[in-house]
Amino acid sequence: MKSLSLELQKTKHHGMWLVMVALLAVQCLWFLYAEGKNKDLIQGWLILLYNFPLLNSIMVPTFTAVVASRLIDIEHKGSDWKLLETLQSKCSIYLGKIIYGMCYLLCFSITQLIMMLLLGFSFGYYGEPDVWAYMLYFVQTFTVSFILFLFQMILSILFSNQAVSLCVGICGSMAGLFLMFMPWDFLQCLLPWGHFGAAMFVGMDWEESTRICTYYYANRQNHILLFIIVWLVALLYGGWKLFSNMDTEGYSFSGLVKHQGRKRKNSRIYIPLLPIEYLKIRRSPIWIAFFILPSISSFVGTFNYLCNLELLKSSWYSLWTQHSLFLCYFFMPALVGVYASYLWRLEHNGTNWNMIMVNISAARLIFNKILACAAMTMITIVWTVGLYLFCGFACGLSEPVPPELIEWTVCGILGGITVSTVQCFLSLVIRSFAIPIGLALGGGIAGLVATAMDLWYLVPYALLSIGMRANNPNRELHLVRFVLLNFCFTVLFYLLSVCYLKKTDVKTQ
Amino acid sequence: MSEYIIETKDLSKKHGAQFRVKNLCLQIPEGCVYGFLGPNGAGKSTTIKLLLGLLKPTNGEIYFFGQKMNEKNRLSLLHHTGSLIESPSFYGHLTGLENLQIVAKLKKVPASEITKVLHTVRLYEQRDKKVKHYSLGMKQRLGIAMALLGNPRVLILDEPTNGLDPAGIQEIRELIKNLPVTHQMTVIVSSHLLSEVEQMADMVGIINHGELVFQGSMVSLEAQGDGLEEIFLSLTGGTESL
Repeated sequence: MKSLSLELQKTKHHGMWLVMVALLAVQCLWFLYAEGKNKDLIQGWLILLYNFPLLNSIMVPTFTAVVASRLIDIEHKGSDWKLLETLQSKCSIYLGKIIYGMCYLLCFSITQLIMMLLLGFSFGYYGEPDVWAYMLYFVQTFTVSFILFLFQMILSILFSNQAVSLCVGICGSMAGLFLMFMPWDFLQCLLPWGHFGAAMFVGMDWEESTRICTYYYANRQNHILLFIIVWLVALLYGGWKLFSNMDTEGYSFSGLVKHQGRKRKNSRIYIPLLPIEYLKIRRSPIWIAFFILPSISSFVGTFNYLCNLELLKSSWYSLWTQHSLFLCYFFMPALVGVYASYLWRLEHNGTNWNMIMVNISAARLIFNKILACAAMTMITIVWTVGLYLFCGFACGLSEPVPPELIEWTVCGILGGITVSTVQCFLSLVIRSFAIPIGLALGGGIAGLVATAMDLWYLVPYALLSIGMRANNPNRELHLVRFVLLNFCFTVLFYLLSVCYLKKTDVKTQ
Repeated sequence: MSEYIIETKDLSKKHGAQFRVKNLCLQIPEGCVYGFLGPNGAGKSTTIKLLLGLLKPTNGEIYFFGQKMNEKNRLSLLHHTGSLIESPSFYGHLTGLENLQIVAKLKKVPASEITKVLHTVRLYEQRDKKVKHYSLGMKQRLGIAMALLGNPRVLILDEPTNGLDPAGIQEIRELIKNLPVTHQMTVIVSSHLLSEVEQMADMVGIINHGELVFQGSMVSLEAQGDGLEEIFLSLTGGTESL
């Protein structure tokens, strides 16, 4: 109990609850949007139970990553491990963090349950909610979220660079989404991100001719319980083992990576020609994220395409939708968020603001950051397109590559620049690493909703997916308007950043 | 125009309702070592951050080289300064040399300068080590090297001997004393250690609760009475701290 109250004390001014509120708000809005129009009053209570696990499997992996990172990063940042371990036993630190996470997720699950009930009653669904089903749902949500939290917490402890755990969180979100729809039952049970899908007990049938959805209770995979228990025990125990073996300097991987420290003795002294922002991110693991995330997306996209050849008839165009859809709406914004957060974290660290602000003007600094972020985004987009071409040829598509591909890429890059600017602004103002990334994921979803409502020009995040023609390669786009819109958003957020930096006092930790 | 290289007029900084720094009139002559003394939390770092434009003053003006500093000329004036504030700034995942390369690029100084400052602070042999693996004293030396880079006219060092061993303190002290002679630099050193300032400074400013309680030459301060320690304690309100 004491360690729990300590954790509460530490996160006092930390906006932990805002993260939860934001997540629930997005879920609520999503449901209102998706089900608000054509209310199916008879099946309502089942629809809720079908939709929320789906939303959870997309959002909760990133959500838990953000929460765990916030919880652990406070200790990394102030190198507090040194102090803590002289005051508390390792066991009570570990337990404190876990109990905090448990209570937090309990609050989350309860609030979500209440929200679902409120939504149901306010829609006026017929009948009463099935108490047992909702209780079961509650227990599932809590347990699976807790497993994901434990997993993320261990990553956050091991890698003081929080980019690692957040990238894993985003990949987890992606995996959760795909595992939901893929016919890989075993994988769904095996990987913790699939558990939301595996534990789901409401199924849906969609009648194509009548366009009617039927929801029903289904006994899908009872052995999931076994996997959940195994994961829970393994993570609790394994996490403790890893944590108790960690020394106060953080985890050292030097034993695993051979002789990395033994390179380049007595290097020559010169002024490198490369841009400063590039020099700063040299030897950072961020490059890995680029390659992995689009690779997962295109692998699954191609797989999905090959499985549904009878439905997806327009070869290259169909393949493009499969490749770009989820990537653009959910994961590219978050990935750009990681880049931006990473770039600004370099300056938020220690007293670096003191040094940087006496040597470079605010306008120039922000320009450099945006440029670096946009360049990384651009490489990611080009890499995605490269993967698309590779997969297309590997699938043996005989038609010529669509000539519009160049336009899609260029528009995508333009949209990417806009998102980079927005994220650079957020990461500049919000000193936390994780929160802007969570906002990016939320923004991507907001972009999806806005696109569906034909208000895409209001949400900068939608420009990326619109530009890349995700989900609809035939969409007509007024090019001049599109370019102008991007330009306006970019300039707006650039100026906002410059103003912010000029007007506020420099804060160091 | 002005005989002072840095001058402030009624410089104030409010944080909430409280003054961190109040009506400060610093006068720093060229070519001296100016010791900026005060107990913990007196407003030393705040003053230095105000001088560098890192904080926006609530009130008052700052003159560098006789020119009033404003948003437009801030960077071009600061181009002639080198500074180390609070604690050294660095990118931990890069080596000492790479950190200096970044600062050198920002300040637009040639590579020969890097070699020079590395020798000056005696980090030349350690340049290929990642800064996060440096000891506290080595980080402090790196911070000083960054400040010295580009041979600035004014060097501003906030508690420069933090974390250094006795030999290191002696070394840095000698360096600071010699800079006005060998490089025509003006050095501002803040400290809460009287003995340290006593051995380096020609001019002293003493600040307490954000207000300047003494400014003048070291000699005139010593002329005030018994020991320096007593003078300092009586000026700063005796035994109370913070």
